[in-house]
Amino acid sequence: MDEATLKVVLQRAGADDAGALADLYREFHPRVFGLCRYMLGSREEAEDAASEIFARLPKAMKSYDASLPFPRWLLSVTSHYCVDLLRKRRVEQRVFETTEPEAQEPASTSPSPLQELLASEAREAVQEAIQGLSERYRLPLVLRYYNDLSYEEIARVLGSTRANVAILIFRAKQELRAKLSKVKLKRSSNALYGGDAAVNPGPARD
Amino acid sequence: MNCLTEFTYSKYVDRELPAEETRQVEAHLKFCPRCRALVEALGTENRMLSNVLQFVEAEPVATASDWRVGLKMLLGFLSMVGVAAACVTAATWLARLLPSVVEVNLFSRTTWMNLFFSGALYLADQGAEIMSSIVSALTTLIVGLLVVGGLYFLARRSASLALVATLALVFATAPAASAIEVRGGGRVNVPSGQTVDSTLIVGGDSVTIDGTINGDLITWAHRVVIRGVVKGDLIAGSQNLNLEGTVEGNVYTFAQALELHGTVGHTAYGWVQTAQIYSGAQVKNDLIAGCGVSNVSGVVGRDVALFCGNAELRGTVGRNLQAYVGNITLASPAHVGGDFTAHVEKPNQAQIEPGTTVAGKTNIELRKPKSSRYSQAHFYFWQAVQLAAALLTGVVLFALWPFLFAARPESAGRILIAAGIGFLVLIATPIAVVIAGITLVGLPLAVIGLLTFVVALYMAKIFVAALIGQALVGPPGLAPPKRLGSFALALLAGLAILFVTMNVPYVGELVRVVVLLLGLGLAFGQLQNRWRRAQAG
Repeated sequence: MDEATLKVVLQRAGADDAGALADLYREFHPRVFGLCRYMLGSREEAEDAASEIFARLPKAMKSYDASLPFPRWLLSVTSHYCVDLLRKRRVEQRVFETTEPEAQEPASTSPSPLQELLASEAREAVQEAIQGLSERYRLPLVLRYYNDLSYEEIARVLGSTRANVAILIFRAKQELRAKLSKVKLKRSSNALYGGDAAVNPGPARD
Repeated sequence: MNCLTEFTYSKYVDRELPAEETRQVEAHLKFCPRCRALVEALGTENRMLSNVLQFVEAEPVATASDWRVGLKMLLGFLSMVGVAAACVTAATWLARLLPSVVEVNLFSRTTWMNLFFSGALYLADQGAEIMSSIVSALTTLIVGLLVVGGLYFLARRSASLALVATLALVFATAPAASAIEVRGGGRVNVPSGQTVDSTLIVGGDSVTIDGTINGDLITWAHRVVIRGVVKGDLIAGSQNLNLEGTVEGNVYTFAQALELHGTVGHTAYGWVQTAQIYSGAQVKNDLIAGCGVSNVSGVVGRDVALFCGNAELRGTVGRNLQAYVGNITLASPAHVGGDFTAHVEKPNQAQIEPGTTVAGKTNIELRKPKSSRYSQAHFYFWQAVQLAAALLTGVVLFALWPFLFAARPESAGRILIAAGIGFLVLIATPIAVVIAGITLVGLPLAVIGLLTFVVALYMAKIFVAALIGQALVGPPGLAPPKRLGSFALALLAGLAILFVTMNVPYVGELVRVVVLLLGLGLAFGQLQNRWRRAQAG
């Protein structure tokens, strides 16, 4: 859908046009579903959440500010909705408590950055590893690299601070690398990972 | 100049460093190849992450356009019809093989199998007709689907309208019944003197046939009385079946009480609680009956096979009498033209009273009291075979329609709800099938529905096993597995657990029921979800 079409469709959707809403659904459902899938962890919940978001779309459209690109706006609505769901899920656990600061400056002791993990088998391994991250790490990571949100925006969605988000994302990646290097060790014998996943030497302090 | 921390570079690569620090980093990178390499690696990692995240596991079907969902459903439907057709073909094939077997070797140890085969024979006889009516119904259905598909796009949301329209179309345009007549109601009576030239299908509270049916008679009723003549076969499911007249073909009956005063031209097959073949009654070929109590005083032209609790024979058997019974008594003036073989547990359970004649040999074969099935090797062998079959079925299903296994009840409440739904499905499906079966056009649909239902009953345990297995060995968080291998492993674990628990004495029966309900409920829930989502599109 090009921008001009999208604009027309959005206008019609704003006027409660069922056809236009259906067009939006077709166009954006996969992305919304994907985000829900990564944020919520279970496919069922993600499907329900995505359906719910589109069901509420006509109402939500009223508050849509046309200065923001629609996909971005929709994904931020989605993120908020998912975070709300997760909050409700664990009222007691207070996952997003901001007052508890992460360590000042994370040390870089983990395995080095991952690269070239693009073979489909490897992709699944990465996805699995992402799903295996705790919510605390998974959400910021997904919001950053699936949604392309800035630290600031992520902080707003999670009710956290920008500095904390930076740390969480960094930690998330470290944990991901650790997880994947384990996978890699386990499978190195069957040579699924022909290319090196992590060859880069860590930085030295001179 | 000192290298900066990886954390700083990470923020730098994310373009989240303040301008001042960004400048510092860039200044440093100019001189430090190692850090440059690190920054490059971090950038690659970010791209890789974005890339990987763009692939969400198999697209949810709701995003596929409606016609594709429809196509999938149609394909599923067609494949079920295919299975049905294959069964019919197989039966036809068997039928070609069988007549000789049935003639020569009725009284082998395989008599039980013959009972089964006689069902196949019937299908073979009628298979062509059944198929042609299935095909015509299908054709209509496809035309109906096309039209309704058009309507559907016109009125997107009215799914129920679409459904009603399909059914209406199917019923409206279905070919008129040519050789079949259907009646129904409280009391159905074909009075004396009236002739029905076709096959007659009747349902009702009470069915009385005093006239003549030139075709077959297929009937289910509380009470069926036949005083007239049926020139074809009689297929009857009823509480009471009273046959005083003549059936020139075979009789297949499932009844609580069978009373036979009249004549059966060929063979009588009965699964009944009480079978009374009165003096004066005649079965010209064989009599094969599984029953609680049987009393045969009439004449059977050829062989008799009885699988009974208690059997009494006062009549005449033209050839052999074979009895697998709790007790059997041959009372005067019983006459057996061939051999009499009784399979009983104790010798005194087969009584031959004075005044009876057995022309051939009399064999009283003692069955060994059944040893516990758990002590028999073949029990384990067959369990293993069944487990393997279930595993294979489950894996194929998963490969075809993974969504069937996506159910993840989160709480005990959800599980209860699923079991409740399963109970409803268990009750409602046969009712729907019967209702569909009453209307003629629905008959093939009823057959298909019944087949689907039987398949679903079989698969219930697979769904439950998959759920259990995935909870045990699947990925954390109950995420559905994406790979066939991990699914198969989980399913194997689940099936193993189920097979063991289902075979625990007493408890096992309960487990079976729960598994059945839960499996049906889960699968139905998934189908319903899928359907709803397709609609929401």
